[in-house]
Amino acid sequence: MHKDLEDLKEIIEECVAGKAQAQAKLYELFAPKMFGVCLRYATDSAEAEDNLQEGFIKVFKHIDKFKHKGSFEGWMRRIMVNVSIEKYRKQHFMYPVEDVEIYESNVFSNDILDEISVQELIGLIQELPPRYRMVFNLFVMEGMGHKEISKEMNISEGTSKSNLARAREILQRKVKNLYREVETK
Amino acid sequence: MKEIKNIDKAVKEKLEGFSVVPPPHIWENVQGQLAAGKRNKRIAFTRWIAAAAVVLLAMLAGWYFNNSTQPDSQTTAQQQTPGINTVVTPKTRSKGKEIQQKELIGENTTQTQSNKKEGNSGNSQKQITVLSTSNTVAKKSLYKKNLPPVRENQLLFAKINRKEIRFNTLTTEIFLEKHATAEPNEFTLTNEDKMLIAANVASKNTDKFENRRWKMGLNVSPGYSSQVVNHSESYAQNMSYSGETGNTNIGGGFAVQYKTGKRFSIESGVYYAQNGQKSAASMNLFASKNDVGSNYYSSNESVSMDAVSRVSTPTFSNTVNINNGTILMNGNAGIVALDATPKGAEITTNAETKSMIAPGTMVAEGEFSQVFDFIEIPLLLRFRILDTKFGIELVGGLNTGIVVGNNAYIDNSYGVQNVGSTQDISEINLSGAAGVGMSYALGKHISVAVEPRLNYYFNSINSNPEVDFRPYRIGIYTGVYYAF
Repeated sequence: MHKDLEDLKEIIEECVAGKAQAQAKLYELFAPKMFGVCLRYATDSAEAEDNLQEGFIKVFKHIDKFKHKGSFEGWMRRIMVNVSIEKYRKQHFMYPVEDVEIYESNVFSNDILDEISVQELIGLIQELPPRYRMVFNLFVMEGMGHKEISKEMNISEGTSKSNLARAREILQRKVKNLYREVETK
Repeated sequence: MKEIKNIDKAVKEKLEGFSVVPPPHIWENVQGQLAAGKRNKRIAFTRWIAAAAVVLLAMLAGWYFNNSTQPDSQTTAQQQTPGINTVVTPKTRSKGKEIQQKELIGENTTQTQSNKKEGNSGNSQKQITVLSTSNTVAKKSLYKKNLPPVRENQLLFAKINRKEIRFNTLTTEIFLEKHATAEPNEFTLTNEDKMLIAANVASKNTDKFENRRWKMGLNVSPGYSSQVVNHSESYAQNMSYSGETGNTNIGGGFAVQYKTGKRFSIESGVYYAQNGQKSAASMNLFASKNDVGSNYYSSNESVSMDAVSRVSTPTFSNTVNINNGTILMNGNAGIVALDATPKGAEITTNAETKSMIAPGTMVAEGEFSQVFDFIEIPLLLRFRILDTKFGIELVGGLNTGIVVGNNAYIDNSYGVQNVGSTQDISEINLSGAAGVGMSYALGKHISVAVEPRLNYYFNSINSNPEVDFRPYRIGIYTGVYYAF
């Protein structure tokens, strides 16, 4: 593992020097995972592909700014998330704000989620209304607080909270529906 | 509340390591855009070079015409002219060629990507695209050298893929089918098409590179020139003055820097600089023509008067050889061929010598100087010590100095007269350069810099074995730089 890290450092340094071969290596190493990140934030895979492409161009242009402090993957991921947020802002800034409406939470067990596939889950997340999807991802996957999310998304903290709640609600319902479908088959 | 936490946690666990190999055209697009970005920069750079060359030529032309209209009598020597154009233009042209070649090489490194099908884990639908790392087709040797790390990397990558496969076996095909429907369209495009599309996208997407590698600057460098000089004994015997001083002057030019790494950059450019020396007020014994008269030929009535006048007017005198109408004089920087007797100067011949060569003494009020104009092409390595808004750099390297002007002047009551030139001066000389640069960034692109730099000629610029004349110059290079 240590050697891998050293290799990565070398690859990054070569990327800073603009070497095409190193860029290809870096892409190979991280593209699948970053595509996974982009897919979570996008409405469909076409949008995710666009974001991945844009994200990687940013990565290569700014790679000299990576100071080898903290994880490189985390740094890259942050770039992908930022690109996704930017894209969202461009596309959905007119999206209507929905009122807070906390649904009573049904009993939900992990077992159900185990039954559905990662691809299905991604599909369900992609089907979420764009802002719910963004907030849900930022909160759950990036571990951001509502304050941070409200800044990133240019919304109020209350909106962030309610969006998260709605996102959970919708997801739970959809997961259950899907689960039922699986069961009845 | 418990359930809410549960779904968050469950989703996070499930999606944390989620990864999908993206379709191959994305990497092609990324590369296309990166290459296009570089190309744009290069085009911009060649434009700058061209613009700078025009400015430089204009400067040189101005300098030349300014020089040739010097207030002088019929004895003005003009011989520094033809060198300028022939020396400067090939340099800039060849730079242009280099850039084009680089560009061509850049275009040759089109990347190939191969899709490999892997039937695995019982999932026949699964298509895993593996990106080939061997993407630099152009340079075989380079490719060979880098082969081992590539292999290692492929192994590493293969590991990752295997993980993915394991991870994805449970998943449905819905998602992958989505891809499958999207992909055929992509494959009808040829590689060139994709490159073209990518380049077009890139030209629209003119994101500026934060990392600016090129820097161009215009400099003026007020400075002080002097020299280290040694003469053979026989040469020195015919040199009767000894008080040499340096020469303040202004040089300048333009510089191009290229950042090779985080802290290192290389610099080249074209500079104009002057080196020279002055000899004046040196003769205690033969300080003025009146002195000579009094000491050699007549009574000493005027001696006391001259002693007074000597203080106020610097006077120059030296032994000269007159041979077939040419007056040769052992100057500090080498033998000076005088075109004619300068105004306000007298040449006293030794009447007792009967040989063809009639040595004499030239006496003139004023200062005598030998001045050399250089076009300098530096190759400098710069190391950045302090990399903030205010930067400090160490500079060192070599300088090719091409002598484009070689003149001897006498400055007396008749004005500055160009009286001849120094013989045996080598046209091309090598000097070392060292300095400390300080810069301050005014914005993203523009910075100002002050850089004291010492230029020292390793070898005598005079090929005459009797004379070892090595000029040096301390200049304060002050200029504006543009980074892009």
